[in-house]
This record gives sequence, C-alpha cells and structure tokens, in this order.
Amino acid sequence: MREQQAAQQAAQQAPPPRQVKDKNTPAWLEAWQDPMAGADAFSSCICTADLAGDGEFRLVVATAMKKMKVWNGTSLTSEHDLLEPPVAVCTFYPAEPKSPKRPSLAIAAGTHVYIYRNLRPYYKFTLPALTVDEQEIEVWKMVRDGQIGPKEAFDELANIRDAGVSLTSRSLDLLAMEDGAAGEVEQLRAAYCAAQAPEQLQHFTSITCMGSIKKNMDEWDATSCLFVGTESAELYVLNANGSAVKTTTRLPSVPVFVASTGLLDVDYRIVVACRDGRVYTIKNDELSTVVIELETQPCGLVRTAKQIHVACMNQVIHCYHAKGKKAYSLYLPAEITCIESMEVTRTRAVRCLLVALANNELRVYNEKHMVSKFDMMEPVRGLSFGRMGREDNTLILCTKGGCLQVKIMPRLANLEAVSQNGPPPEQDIPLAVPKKTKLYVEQTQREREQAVDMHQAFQKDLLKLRLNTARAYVKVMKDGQSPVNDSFEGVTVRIQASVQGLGPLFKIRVHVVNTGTKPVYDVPILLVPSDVDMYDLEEVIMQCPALLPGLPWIDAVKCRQKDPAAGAGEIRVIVATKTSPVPLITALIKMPLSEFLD
Amino acid sequence: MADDEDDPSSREISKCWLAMKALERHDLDECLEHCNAALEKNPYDQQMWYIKTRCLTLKNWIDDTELEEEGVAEVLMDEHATAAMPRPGTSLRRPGTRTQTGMPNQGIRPTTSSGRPTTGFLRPGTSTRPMTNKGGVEGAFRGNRPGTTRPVTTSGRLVRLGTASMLAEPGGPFINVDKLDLRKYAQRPALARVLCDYILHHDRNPKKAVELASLATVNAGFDDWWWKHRLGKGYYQLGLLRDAEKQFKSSIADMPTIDATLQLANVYIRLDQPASAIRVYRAGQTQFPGETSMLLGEARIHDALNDMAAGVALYKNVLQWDATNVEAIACMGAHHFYTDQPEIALRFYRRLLMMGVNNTELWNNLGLCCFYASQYDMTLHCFERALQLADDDNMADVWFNVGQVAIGIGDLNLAEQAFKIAVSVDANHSESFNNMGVLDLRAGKVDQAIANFQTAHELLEFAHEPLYNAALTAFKLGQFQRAFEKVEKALENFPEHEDSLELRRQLVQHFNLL
Repeated sequence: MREQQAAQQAAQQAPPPRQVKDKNTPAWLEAWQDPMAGADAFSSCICTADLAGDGEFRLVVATAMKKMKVWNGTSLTSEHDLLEPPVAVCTFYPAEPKSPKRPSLAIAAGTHVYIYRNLRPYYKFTLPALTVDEQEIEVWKMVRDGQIGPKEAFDELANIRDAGVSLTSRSLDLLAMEDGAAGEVEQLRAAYCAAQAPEQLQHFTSITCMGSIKKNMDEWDATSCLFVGTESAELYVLNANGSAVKTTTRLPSVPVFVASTGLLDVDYRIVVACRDGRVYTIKNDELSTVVIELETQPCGLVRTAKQIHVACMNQVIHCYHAKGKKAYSLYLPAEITCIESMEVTRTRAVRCLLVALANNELRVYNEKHMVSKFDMMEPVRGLSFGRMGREDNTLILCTKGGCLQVKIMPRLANLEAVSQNGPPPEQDIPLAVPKKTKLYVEQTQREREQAVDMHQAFQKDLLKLRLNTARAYVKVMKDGQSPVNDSFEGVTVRIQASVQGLGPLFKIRVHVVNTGTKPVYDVPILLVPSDVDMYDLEEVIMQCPALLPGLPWIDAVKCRQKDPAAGAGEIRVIVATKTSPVPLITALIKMPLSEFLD
Repeated sequence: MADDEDDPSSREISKCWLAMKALERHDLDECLEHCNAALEKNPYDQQMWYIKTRCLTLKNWIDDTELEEEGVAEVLMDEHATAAMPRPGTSLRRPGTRTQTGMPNQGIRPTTSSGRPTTGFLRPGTSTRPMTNKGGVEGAFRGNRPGTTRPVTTSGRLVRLGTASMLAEPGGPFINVDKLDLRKYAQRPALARVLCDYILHHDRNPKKAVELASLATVNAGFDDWWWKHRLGKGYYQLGLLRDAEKQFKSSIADMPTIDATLQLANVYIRLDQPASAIRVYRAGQTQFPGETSMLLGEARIHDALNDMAAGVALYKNVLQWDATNVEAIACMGAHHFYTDQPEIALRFYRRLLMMGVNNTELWNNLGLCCFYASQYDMTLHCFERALQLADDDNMADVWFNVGQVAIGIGDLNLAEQAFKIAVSVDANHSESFNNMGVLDLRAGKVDQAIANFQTAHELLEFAHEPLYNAALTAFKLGQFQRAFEKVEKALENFPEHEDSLELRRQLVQHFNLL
C-alpha cells in the first residue's frame, strides 16, 4: 500500500472534496479486503507496529482461534500458534540504546504475557501468584494426609467459598464436580483429590486487559512500559523490559477496559472501566477519588488527551472530561460493538471517535456531530485506526465472520463538525391530517341544531339495545353456549375444538382448559352432530376424569362421514357437569366438505 | 312464443328452431326439453346435440375470471418457488413490507385473519394472502376464518361441481367424454368448440379439455386464438401456470380479448408476481378502455400490496365508467372510513343502500359510520337492522361492533355482554377475545385477561393487538422476560407499532440497567 497507489486510488475513487460534506457519501477509500482472512478478533487484539524497524507498519491480529497473524501490506507474512486464547495484543519499546529501535510485541493470554522480539518468542512474563487462603491450605493438607475424605473436603471448601474467600482453581474445579449419578461423582472427586493433593497449592489469576504507556519521553519510539489488569482486581505496571512488576494498584472491581495518557515517570493517568459499571482513574500510582458511575455496563473505552469516552450497553456513549465531569452523550440507534479514537494530523489535528454498531453501521463522530457514516456487510467485531504500511490514516476492521477490511481516510476528507442550529427538518413536514369536509361541517351544524332530538333518539335506541343485548346474553348464559363460561359455580372453563383431515375420515380435536382456581372432577364431554345420520363418531361421550386449574385436557375422536357427497354439517361439543342441567360450555365445529375417495 | 302454445300450427315448427330460440332467450330448461325430445327420436341428430351441449354448458357456467381461494395442495406443494429473499413491495406474500406514507397503517386499518389489509368488499381471493404457509401443515389446512378449512385443491372444488352437475342429470351423463374419440372431434371445429366448453364447464375435466384443445390447435395451424385461450384455461385449472401463461400470451397476441387478459393476470397473481399482473391489466386497459373488470383487478392488487392510494384512484376511475359498481363503492367507503372521514364513507354506503343492497354488513358499516360521524340518532338503529338480518357467519362481527360502540360511549357492562355474545356465536372471534381481555384487565381479573389474550392470539396469529396487550400485562406484573418475548412477537406482526416499540425500549432499558 504505497502512497502512490493510495494517491492513485484517491484520484479514481475519491469524490471531490466539496462533496464530502454530504454525510452519507463515504469519506473512505477501500484499500484492501480479505473475506477469508480468518481474522476473528476484538479491538484489543488488533495492532499495527513497525516490527522490523524499516518504517513499514505490520498488522498484527491475534485471533480467537489461537493464532497470531502478521500482515505486511496485503500479504500474510507469518502465522504463529498461541498456547491460549489471546486477551490483548500491544507493542512497546523496551529500554535499549540501539537505533533504529524495534518494538517488542506483547500478547496477553491466561496468566501470562508472551513477549515477542523480531516475531520470535523472547520472554514469558507470569503474573505474581496470589496468596492462598490459610483455611484452604489446611483443607488440602488434611486431604493429602488422609485425615478427611473427598466428601468432607468438598463440604469444607464449599463453606470457605460461601464465606467469600477467593479459592484456587484446584478447589473450584473440585466444587464444580456436581453433575452425574451420585456414585459417579464420588468416584470422580476421590480420583481428583488423590491426583491433586500432593501438588503445591498455587493461586493464579488471569489477565483481563493490557496497555502500554511511555516512560519518560513523548516520542513514538520512546521507551514504554506495559500495564495489565487482572481478574483479581489489580492493575500491574511492568518495568521497561516487561520482566517484573513495577507498581501494583488495587482496584475496587475487576478491570475490563484500560486506557492511558501521559508519561509514566512524569505524570500519568490510567483510566480503568470495571465490571461494577464504574470508571476509575489511577493518577501517578494512586487510585484517584474521581469515579464515574455508569447506568449500564461499559462496552468500550477511549481516552484522548482531555476526554474519556465510555460506550455503554444501552446504546449510549458518554463523554467525560478528565476530571470526571460529563460533557455530553451520544444516543445511537443500535448496540455498540466497539469504539476507537481516530486522530488525524493535518494542518490542524482532528480528533474523532469511530463507533461500530450492531446494525452494521460504522460512524465517525467529531465531538457531538456525525461527520461520516457507512454500512458494512456484517457487524464489526474489532477495529483499529492508525498507521499501516506507510499510510498514516488507516482503518482496520475485523468483522464477525473473520473478514478483514482496510480503509484509508483520504487527506482531503472533510471531518469538520457542522453544527445544526434551529429546529430539526422534520418539523417542516406537515402531518397528513385529512381536511374536514363540507359534509362534516354540515353534519356538525345539524348536530348543533337538533342536539336534543338526537340525544333523545340515541338514548331511546340505547335502552332498546341494552335490553336486546341483555336478552341475548341471558340466552347465552342459559344455554351454556359460550366458549368461555363466566365463573359458573366458581368454575371457569374454556374450550377449543378443531377438525383435522380431508375426509371422509376426520379427527376432532378437543382442547379444554380450566382457567379458574378450583378443580372440576368427572366431566363428560359430548359430541352432538347437527344431523344424526351424517357422521359416524367413534365416541359420543368422552370422559374427562378431572380438569385441574391451568392444565389443558386434550383428546381426539375419529369421525367418519357416512356419505361423502352429502355436503358438510356441524358438530356441537358440549362440556357438562354431573351437577348442573346447563352445560359448562359448548363449542360448534363447522365440518369441512369431504374429499372423494377415488 | 308462450302465446302460440295452444295454436295447433305451432306443432309444425321445428323443434330445432324452438330450442335455438329458447337458448337465445336463455330459457335453458325449455331448451333442454326440446333437445331431449328431439334426441329421443334421433340420437344422432348433430344439430340437436350441438344445441344441447351449448345449453348444458351455459347452465353450469361460472365466471372463472375471478380468483378462487387457494387449496391446501397449492399452499403446501408450491413448486413455483421464486426468490426466497424478501421482495418488499413486489410480493403479495408480505403486504406489510411496502413503505407507505400518509395512509392508514395496520394499527388503524385492520387486517384479515391472514394478515392482509381488509378491503371494502369480500371476495374469495381478497381475504387470504396467497401462498402463505405460516403454521406448517396445520396452518395450510386452516381456512380464512379460524375454525374453517381450506379446500384440498382449487380444482377439487371444480371437480365437485362437475360431479354435482352430472348427478343432477337424469339418465346419466349426456356425453361420456372418456369414450369419445377426441381426434375425430378435433377435425370438426364447430363441434369441437362446444365440446371443449362442455368439458371445461360442465364436466370440469381440464385434462380432457387440454387434450382436445391441443389436438384442435394443431389442426388450426397454431394460429387460432380461441383454442389457445381454452388451452390456457385448461392448464391454469391443472395448475400448470407457466404453460397457461404461454398460451394466454399467445392468444392475446393473436387477438386481444378481455377474458384472456384477466386470466393471464390471474396466472401472474398465482405466481406471486403482482407487478407483472398490473402490467397485463394496464396493457388490457389500453386495448379495452372503460373495461371495469381490469381496473378493478388492478385496484385489488394495489390493495393487496397495501398501496391504498393507487387502489383508490382506480376505484374512482371505475365509478366514472360504471356508477353502480358495488365493489368500487364499497372499497371507497372503507377507504374513507379508515382515513378518518366517516361522513364521506356514510355517503358511499348510503349509495349502496339506495342501489338495493340490503345486508348485515352494509347496515353494520352504516352504523359505524354514523357513530364515528357523530350522527348518534341513527347509529343504534343501523345496528339493530344489522342484527335482524345477521346469520351465524356475520353476527359475531356485528356484536363485536356493538361492543366497540359501547366502549365508545363508556358502557363497559354492555360492551362485555356484547363481546360475550359475539364469542358465543363464533367461538373463533379473536377480536372479541382480545377486547374481553382488556375489559377483564380493567375489572382487575388479571388471570382471565391473560387467558383471553392467549386465546385471541392462538385464533389470529397475524394480529399484533393480543400480543401487545399480553406483553403490557406481563410488564405490569413484573414478568419482564415474558413481556419481552410477547412484544417481540407483536413487532414481528407489525414492525412499526409505536406502542410496542416503546414498550420494548423500556424493557431493554430495564434489562440494561445495573
């Protein structure tokens, strides 16, 4: 991806700079796309770095399939197997005088940070082991000495866990053995205890996030240090070689996203979004009192020099000043999959925010204003903006299906925010309210003039209708014709009857459910054809022994039409009780016409 | 003629002439009498045979340019699979996908039980959505209204008609088609034509008709539009739609006819290609200006595609040509009613009344229009009339509307009674169950309300109201998961339903909150 090529593409594809103002025209150049890249990675696992020290920035993607892939330009130069699924990838410049400097590549996975130099494994940093709880050591010691069996050990460990103690993975594995038949579980536990008890009990944690921060100079190849957040709610800052822990900060909750600004030896801040839905700031080795509380869980964090952007799971991005004061919120139409900052340095630097949404959109915000938007084919899983090859403003996108896309921001693209003042344009569109017609006016006139007569006529009719309705209603009640009876003797039953088949053989399905609170016992269900000679029923009375509240009673009866050519009749299904002369409910089935058997 | 009966000289008049005159007068029974008498004397009298065949055909003729209801076989064994991808606005299967502005949506204009927007006029084709099979085999067997069943095949119904017409004849069938040598008949064009019509309309045996027609069309050198048309008809009845399309097209190319145009459009509707059907109608309209059946056909397709504005323009056009077209008047009435102009709808329905239409549906619509146009003194009177005329098929709808009016005037007791009567008349009246649920909810009977919404949903899967009501109830009871499931289903049925969207928004916010 040489600049010349890019420039050529720009000449071919880029719209004239003035047109970029239209928000819907893509301000991006399609540089390269590989749908079969297998780059299934989140933003934290994508980075670009000048790994060979030749000024060509390589793209490194650590995929969920435990592979690290390195691209130089558009060609995949190497692929490395990883031992564990990667959590984060980042580069740092170790302290060394040699020039040109080459960065080290750090991959966080499990409890380790694997450091690569020249794309070769160089050093493995392991997180310091945590102290194991005394009681837990005691339990395992007793198991080893045979003082207690696996059953007792299980109970003891469960008690310790319930008391709120963080257990080692060994104990947690034992506690997890719960499934299976009773005897089998006992055997499994005994075998596990026998195998594990003699070993040294160690308590490791795992890495949740990682980043790097410059040590004492603000240059792109200045010495930098790694920092990692762990599952045990601690943040370790490593030394410049990545071989030992320099400082440790205890956090109130497990960190999930980290971002940093400043210089480690001068003045720095690390912003940490944690699992308790709060964002903490570590200021020069100390946890600051500035805490940002979020309404929902964070799903992305971006820190620029002065601002903190936090993407939340309720489709909102909040922007805060460094001191924790909220500046504004962006409300988005869909869930946010990832966010990334975009700094374009031209005659004047423009800082934007890239937001990928679950509805396949990718938006660019300058402050509160959207300056660019385009649609992807599938949701974006990870994105990274920076230098790739020799092109400065490159956007790297990894989609859900493992497709890798590289786009370039043209140098003439307009990223300035155009603020919209005044009412929204929708306000000028009139609502489609139909006009009141002349007829309507005449009718209202009539209404006004003859109000009394109309009212009296209406009241008279209403009384009549009420009477008729009441009569019809009483008839329905008396006959028990309704498919839903209304608390008849405290029992509410409803029925649904349907007919299946083409004929002349049919099946009548009856579905009765008691929606009341009292059970009904011994319910006969009768099937009565409107014309007795028309259908042969397998059963005329179905006996339902009990209708329990809420439990449907379903039965089917075979029915045969005696003469298939005789048209169609009706069958009435009657649910009765032995105590009442009126049926509980009835349903009418309209039988379909029979098909001829020929 | 009747005056001459006693005159002895009339006996000399040829039976053949008498029969022909009777046929001209469309006095088919008399014609048959003459024919039978003549044929008894001489069974090989070709003249009489011709007249009798014609007569029997006319007797059993039904207008086959109307679209029939689809049968189970058509739904389940749909071989004319076109694109499986959603085709917004160009498929009759998904009328809701068409974007429309300024027209009443699903929330205002109700849909039929199969999810198609209601029109002002009920026809076998309008209430179903073609080729929609939502509920698997059981869904395919279900008819338009819940509780009814579909015919097994469209042609099956025709076969039934054919059987019925044969049984109705004394002394067995007049012509035994299976025994005829069709090759021989195909060479005698005049006889072959009546025979072909007889097979199609009396025997309802499209297979034989196709056989005869294909022989005859060969004899005619493939340039007889009449035979191509009959061939197309036969293929259409057999479900060979692509063959039918070819024949009708060829027939129209030879000689444009109204019948062939309408049939070709029907083929396209069957194939779920409404745009092609509209094209055919438009071409027909230029050939036959003022032919209302084509205008109506096009309007129906626009209606089915949920493009009411285009439909209304066509109905207006129809009324310009034929001011007494019941379908156009009824559809205009329905359109104005649902676009919040009940006073104009009232005018249209009154026009129908003046034209002599007097049925439950009309009185019911008049009542509703009066009510919403504030002409209260006539409202209830209309419903009373409607109830007097109602039978089992439509009484439930009238009671439902009485309930609606009762809710409108705040008499909830009356409303509840009306809905209960509605469901007692028609146990599958989903709308009444839904409204009963709402009333139950007001009365504090929550369990019953939930059960009612559930029943309403089961009876009418395409409706969004019961689902939304159930979701809202669940939400108020604190069952958020259940509410979410229901509201999602409601939105599946009606994606733009604002209340459902709002409820889902609230639920999502609730789920997201820490």
